[in-house]
Amino acid sequence: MPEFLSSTGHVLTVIFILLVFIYLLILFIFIIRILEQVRERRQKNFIKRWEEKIFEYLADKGNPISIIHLFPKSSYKYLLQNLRGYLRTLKGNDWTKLSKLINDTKIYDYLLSQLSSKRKKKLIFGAYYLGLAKSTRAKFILRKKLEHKNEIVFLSCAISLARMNESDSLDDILNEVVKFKKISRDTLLSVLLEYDESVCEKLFIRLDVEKSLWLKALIISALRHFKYTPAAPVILPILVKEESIELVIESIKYFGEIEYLDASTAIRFFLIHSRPDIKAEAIKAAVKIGAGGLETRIWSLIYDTDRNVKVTAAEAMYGFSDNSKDKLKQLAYSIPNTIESSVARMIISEKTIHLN
Amino acid sequence: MNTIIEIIYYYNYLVLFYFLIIVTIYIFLNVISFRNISKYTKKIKYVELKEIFRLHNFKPITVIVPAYNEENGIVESVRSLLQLEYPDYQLIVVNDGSTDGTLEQLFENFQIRQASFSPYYEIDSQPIKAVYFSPAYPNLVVIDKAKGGKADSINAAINISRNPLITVTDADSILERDCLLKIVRPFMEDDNIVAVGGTERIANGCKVNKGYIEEVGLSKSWLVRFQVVEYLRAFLFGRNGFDFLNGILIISGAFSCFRRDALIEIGGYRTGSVGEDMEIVVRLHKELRKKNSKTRVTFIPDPVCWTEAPEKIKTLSLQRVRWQKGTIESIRLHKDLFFNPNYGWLGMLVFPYYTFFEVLGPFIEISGYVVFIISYLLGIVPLNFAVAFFMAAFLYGVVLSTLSVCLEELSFKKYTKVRHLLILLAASILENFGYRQMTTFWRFKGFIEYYTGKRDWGKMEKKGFEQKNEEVPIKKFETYQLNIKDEAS
Repeated sequence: MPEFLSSTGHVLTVIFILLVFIYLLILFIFIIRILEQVRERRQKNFIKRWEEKIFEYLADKGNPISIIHLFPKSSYKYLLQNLRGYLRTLKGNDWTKLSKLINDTKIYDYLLSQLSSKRKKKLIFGAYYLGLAKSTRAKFILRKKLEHKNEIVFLSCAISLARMNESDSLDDILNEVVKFKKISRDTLLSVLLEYDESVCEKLFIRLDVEKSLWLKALIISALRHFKYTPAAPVILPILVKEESIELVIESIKYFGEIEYLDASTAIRFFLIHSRPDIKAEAIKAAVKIGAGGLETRIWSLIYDTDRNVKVTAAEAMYGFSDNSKDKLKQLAYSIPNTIESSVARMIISEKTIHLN
Repeated sequence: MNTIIEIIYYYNYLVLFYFLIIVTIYIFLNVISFRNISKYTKKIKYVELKEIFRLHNFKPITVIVPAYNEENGIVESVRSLLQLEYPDYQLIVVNDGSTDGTLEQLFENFQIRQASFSPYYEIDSQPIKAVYFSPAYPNLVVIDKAKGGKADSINAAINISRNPLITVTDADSILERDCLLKIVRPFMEDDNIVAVGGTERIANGCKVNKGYIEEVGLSKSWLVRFQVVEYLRAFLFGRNGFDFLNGILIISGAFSCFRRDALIEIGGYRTGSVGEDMEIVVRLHKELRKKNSKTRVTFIPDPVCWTEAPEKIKTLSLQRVRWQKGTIESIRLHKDLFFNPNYGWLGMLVFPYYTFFEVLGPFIEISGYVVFIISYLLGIVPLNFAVAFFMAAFLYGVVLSTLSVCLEELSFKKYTKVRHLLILLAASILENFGYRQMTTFWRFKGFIEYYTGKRDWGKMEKKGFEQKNEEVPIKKFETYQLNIKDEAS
């Protein structure tokens, strides 16, 4: 007879351990709940006092130091949480006054102490609020923290520097980002777009010397969002060189966005590229640039094998001229019914609804 | 006789061994989930979701809503979906051959007009009879098509959609207003992601106003409360754990988002399937990881979608039987992933887990109960051991459910009242005495029905949400006259 199946001793031990564990778990859940409720109550009480003071302050009563003096250090966390929404939405004089509550008071030192912490949670917290208040005095520490090996800490510091519009830190950000394999282009682009347009000059300089094709494409993408035209003569040779698909697509999008007429010859070439994604982007750019004489070529792309190219070409034909629109309508109602005519009908129906 | 006793004896050991493995896997999944959720909540704490409106580097999304005989809820559902927060999204409602007034409701309430539209079918679907646009709501498109089921409806809408991301939801689900802002983030953070699943919660007992959850609550029905705990367990620790291994095999059919090009590449949803939500995810892994081994399917633990849970045992049993058939079907269709090292953890651990514990689990569990009873009757297992073992198994179930409630308390805290917490903890204990055994039985039934050839969906019955009937203010766009034929001719 099996010993295990007949002895209940060890099963009873397991039962005892499980019971203790369940008891501790339930206790833990209630402790979390109680702590949360205490925190909420403290926050509510704090907000009640704080909101009165903040509106007085915004109405030019009192100075930042004396206001912050009213609150103990233990309430800074709530104070900052409460300021967060205002700092994100207010502008002009009100914003400047609010930022002084951080920059000109003990809160600044408090945030710096968070930034000096070894705990990631505190680092992220400090970086976030310093960026929100555009505390430029902290820029050197934030730049140093870009070297942190954790990607969330890196991104928090990078966003803060971008919000401060510290364009000198741009190179540090781009140099450090390569060590993170998990940071996507969209994430980094979001960081770059936190800067204002003045960063474009720095981006432009960097583009000229940048070796990484990934970063080059990212810089072009950012320049496109800022519609920075002086980079066009430098980007044109990059497009022609065709070093990577990503770079070609970003360059084409850039020329379309800034409507750079000098790029039309290059764009014409990409209309007959072997890759459908490049062809589709070239069509869109050609339409935006308004490159004349491309109608025939784009018309022929309605008969391309790729669906996206067909649709983009039909869409382009609809927008080119009255003549091209008529041609598209003829195709739409031609007999026999083909894929091309159905694509044409789809575009016309969409356009007429939205443009009528 | 001795041989039979010996078989029974070893079978007991097999069941014990099976139980120990499953315990180990669950402990592992729980540890990972605690780590992942803590990481996720830390990450999103300072994320400004609405920044996307300002930064303009967003990806346009198409939200697809298949609707079959939804005349009672479709207007409310579309109204709330038109109010989602996202800078650029299109809403496609697919009337899948409804026999009630679903289409008429859309006509009356959204002023839709038929367009001369002949789609180009990139993936197969039942013929689209008509496409309607709304001059008042430019991002609304309605498709009227021959009946083909949910998968077919989604395929038809994918053909019409032009956006790079496709979100699929149900007409009777309630989405959080910022759900798109949340679900799009993984796509922006990782270029290898092809699909993202949302976390579902149960809406029964919640106050619904204008198509949104106004106040989170719990149903008075214990059957629903057990399902709440079950959902917490499934989403907070099950999927979270598998996500760590890039081994998510199923994402919620009520709210999921895909890269359109990925869906096109694999030929869209498989029609006529019982478990299309799972099948498509398994196929995405299978096909796309051949080309790019870094391809990922992930999910967000944030509760973004609220769904109605069955309140009657009969309806619940039908749902569970169908889910089980869907799992078996997906596993069978893609059995080549089983212990396939080319798919990493997915092939070596997750797929075998699904095979042994999800497909065969109910069979082993039920046979285990039977053999254990026989063992007791034959004197192989003494009564005190049998009782102690069952007790340990039940307590272990309680631990798992309580851990899920703990995860919820540490992360999203949707159930704010102390009463809710007490109910959830009580449900975590009580569900182990009857409810779990019932679900095991239904899964067993699904297993038997699948292998005996009964593979249909079954008929589901839904009660609908309690709603406040207030007029929903939707931003009206300038209306204009439609005259497509004149324009086109």
